[in-house]
Amino acid sequence: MIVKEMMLAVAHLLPRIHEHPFNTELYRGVLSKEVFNAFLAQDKLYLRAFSAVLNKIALRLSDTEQKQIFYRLSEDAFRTQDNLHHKYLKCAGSNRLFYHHELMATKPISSVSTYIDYLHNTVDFEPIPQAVASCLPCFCIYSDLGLGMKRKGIDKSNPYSLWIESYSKQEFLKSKEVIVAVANQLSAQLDDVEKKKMIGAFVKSTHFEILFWDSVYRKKPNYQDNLSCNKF
Amino acid sequence: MIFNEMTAVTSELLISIHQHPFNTQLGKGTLAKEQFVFYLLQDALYLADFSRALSIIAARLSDNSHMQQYVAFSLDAIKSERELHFNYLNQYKTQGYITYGRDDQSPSCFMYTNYLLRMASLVPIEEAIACSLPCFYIYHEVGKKMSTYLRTDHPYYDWINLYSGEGFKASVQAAINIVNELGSHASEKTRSKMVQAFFKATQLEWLFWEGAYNREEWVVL
Repeated sequence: MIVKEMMLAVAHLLPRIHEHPFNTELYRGVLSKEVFNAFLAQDKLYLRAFSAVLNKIALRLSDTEQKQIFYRLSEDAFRTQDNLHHKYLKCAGSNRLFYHHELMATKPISSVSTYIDYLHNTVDFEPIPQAVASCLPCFCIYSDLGLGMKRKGIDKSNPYSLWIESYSKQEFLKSKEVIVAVANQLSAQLDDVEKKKMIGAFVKSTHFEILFWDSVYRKKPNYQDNLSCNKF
Repeated sequence: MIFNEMTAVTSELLISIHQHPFNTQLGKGTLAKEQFVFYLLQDALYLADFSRALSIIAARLSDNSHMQQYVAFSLDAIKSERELHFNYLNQYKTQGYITYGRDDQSPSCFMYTNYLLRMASLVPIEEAIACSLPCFYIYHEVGKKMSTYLRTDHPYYDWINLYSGEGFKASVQAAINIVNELGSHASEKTRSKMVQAFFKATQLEWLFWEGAYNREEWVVL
């Protein structure tokens, strides 16, 4: 079961993910609204690209059942990014997290754009098991985080409770199980070198999941922008 | 000429590149060898993917003479990588001084190569071409500046000589000509995206030197 090995390979990072100020402040409901909005705007951009990548994986897979799974995951990701506006605008009044114009996605920050570039290049140029592996952390890391928060209990008065709950909803956990099963199936026919590459892809994407939170939280949008001149 | 627009928006950035401590020390010959070796290793890793990106661009170009030029660029890039690998980096590798594989790309190198590959395969060809240009143009500018009072006993003589030399200059001019030609047929919107792509790749050039100077690692949090 390769996914177990993958989770072991990032075991040392998991506590750091759970304890990252973005996640602890989100859980306590004290994360600044500004940071959360910036995160959602980036997440929208990310999910749009993620949907395209999942679609490309579906195209390249040969097994019809696996193909169907990835077409569906691709649609789910697209729908999620599309609904991101409406879902968190629903609660009116003081619970309202942000206004429509605040979530207008601008440009991806550099950690996010590199993550997106990496996912596209992996599906375009690497063997398909690696592409599947590179898409796994988005499911595995978030569900791990979501289940951890659920176990501790989610306060309904937390302005971000709806968001936190989405990490551990049945629908999302089911998607995770399905993609994990495909990864395990694909790895079964591989030699150790190829398996190691799958694990490497999983670790790389996990890295970018952490950088995603970190760069949004620290408001370091583009680290090449410490240059005095940025025209765009 | 779209190339003039490109150099205009990156003029300040080019100054930052010239003034980057990596380059000022490289020019004076005082740059520490460790930093230079780190840079060369990353450059070799970069060149392998750059060559891939140039091949993809070549395959997508519709004009046959442009395609021939980009195939030649791609071959030059991978030849340089092989040369670095076998003539230079191997000795450090056998001494256990460095490892060498695609997984060893530093964050800046990774960012740059993944950007180039994604642009080469996914966006309109005019933009893809534009983001491949800084690697030619910027290196020639940097090389030229360093070559002014270049002596043969300079520790980095070969490097400076390569990028300031006539052969490289001809490649740079050929690349600029193709960008100008594609730019002349492009819509205003595409032209603006071409300039943006040139700007971003120039930023990534700066970042590449910054990364090498600091010998950056993958650090999370």
